[in-house]
Amino acid sequence: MNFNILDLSFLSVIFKVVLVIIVFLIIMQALKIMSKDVKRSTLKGGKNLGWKLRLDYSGDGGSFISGDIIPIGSRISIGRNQANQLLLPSQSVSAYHARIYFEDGRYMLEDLKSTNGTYINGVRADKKSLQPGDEIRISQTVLVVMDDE
Amino acid sequence: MTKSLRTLQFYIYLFLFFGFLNLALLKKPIDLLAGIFFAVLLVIISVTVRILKKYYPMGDHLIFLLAISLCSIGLIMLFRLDRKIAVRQLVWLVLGIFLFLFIVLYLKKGIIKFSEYRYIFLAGTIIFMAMATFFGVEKLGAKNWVKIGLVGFQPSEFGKIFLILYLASALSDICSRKQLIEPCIVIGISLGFMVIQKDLGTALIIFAIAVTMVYLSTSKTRYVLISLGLFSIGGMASYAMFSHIRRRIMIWWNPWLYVYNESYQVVQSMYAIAMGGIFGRGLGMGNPGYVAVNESDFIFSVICEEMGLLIGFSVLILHFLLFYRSIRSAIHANNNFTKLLVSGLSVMIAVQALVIVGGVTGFIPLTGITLPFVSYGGTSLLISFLALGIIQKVSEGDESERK
Repeated sequence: MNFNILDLSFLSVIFKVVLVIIVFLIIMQALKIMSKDVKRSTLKGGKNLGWKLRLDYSGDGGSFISGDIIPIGSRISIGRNQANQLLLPSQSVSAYHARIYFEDGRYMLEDLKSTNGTYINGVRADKKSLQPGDEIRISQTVLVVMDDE
Repeated sequence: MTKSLRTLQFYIYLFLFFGFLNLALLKKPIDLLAGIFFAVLLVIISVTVRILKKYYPMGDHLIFLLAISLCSIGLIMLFRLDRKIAVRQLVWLVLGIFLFLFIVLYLKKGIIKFSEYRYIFLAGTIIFMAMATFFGVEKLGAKNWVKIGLVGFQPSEFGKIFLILYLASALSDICSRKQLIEPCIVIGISLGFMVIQKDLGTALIIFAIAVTMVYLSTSKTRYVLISLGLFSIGGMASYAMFSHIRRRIMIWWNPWLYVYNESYQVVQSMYAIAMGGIFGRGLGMGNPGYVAVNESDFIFSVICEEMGLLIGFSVLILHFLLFYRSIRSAIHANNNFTKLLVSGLSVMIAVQALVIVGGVTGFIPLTGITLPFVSYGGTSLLISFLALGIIQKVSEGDESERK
């Protein structure tokens, strides 16, 4: 038996196995990226995804400074009133401005009929599901949604 | 997230590299055209991914990568079958990606504004569905091909898109049963034209799209049951009326009785799949010449023969993942029109894949349609990328009803 490395019948065996392996690597990688969705839907009550908010610009006072990371937990309320978890003491923020809560495997942002509105990626939002990387703007404050990585 | 996407992109490059290296070595001296193909594909994929990332960081980048992996499998197979066809397919692919990027980049205001053009879509549906009946040329047993000058195309492909657009705008604000009458008439007319043109595959796809979209907008199981009932009545009626439908069923029921006549195509396709086995016979080692229409309708069996059943499975898995991903972007859409539009388009792609793969493997009666993203065919590729562009656009989720 002598193997000629350029012999096509030998090479094609290698090629076909390699091609199959690579295609399944592509599928595995795609599934790995998608597994985040699965993780999301198997969460039961009380649990959440552990996403955070990053304060990119704080123009409304309060005890937070730019770059602070604020965990969302299962809900967080934003507003001027002392009862809010994320306090923004500025006149252009409503008393109970907005809230973010975890429901059915995703984070929802709900604007609580605020005067000046809540903007997600520059678009005024009433109630919208959040994605990692979304930019939330309330008055002058800019918050960026971050996933658990 | 971006890192794992880059790994995925790298695997696709690796697949293309080994695929075209294999094809290049098939000829002596080494086939340089394969190298050119590899380079062109590398450039278009990386440029497209970069553009998507730069202008739309929020979009779902997986959708495009899944579609392009399907295109890569198709292109490698087409190059093996016929280099001329592969060159034409590459040109269509580039055009398709241009269309895709055009939709993604230039529909800035969002797709919601299209919901007002309901009657334009209605007219488009009827015109395109009817076109082939009056001006059509018969090709491979179905009269679904129209020639204008030198350019030939399948009007029913455009008809499908118009039908989805029309149904999405008609069903998006549905609240009473009366509003269902008009869409039902339109669906009925489209189905009727498809049966007259003997294009049963498209008729099946239109039916699946219609049932899914009606169910999604009304969420009543009753309508699904009614349409399934009507479907079986219609199916039986056309079985009694049309001889070509009887023949299709007869072939499907027992292909082995008519091996040399009516069921020659199906049987050869099944032989090809069986010859391939798990890993296939290797590119250039099989006999795809025995399989009819091996560049479009039967490409799945040729892929199974030369690249193996495992690659055949992966075509199905990739289609499934693409479907899942598209439906996911429909869930995140924030108005009914885009929700229905995206789910209709993704159902169209998925059902098309199921019907043709089921057909060539003898699982359901064979109907000639293309395997989306894989088969050769300019119209089909353009339409698939058009649909993909709309899905990609919606996945960015930057639409608002207040605009």
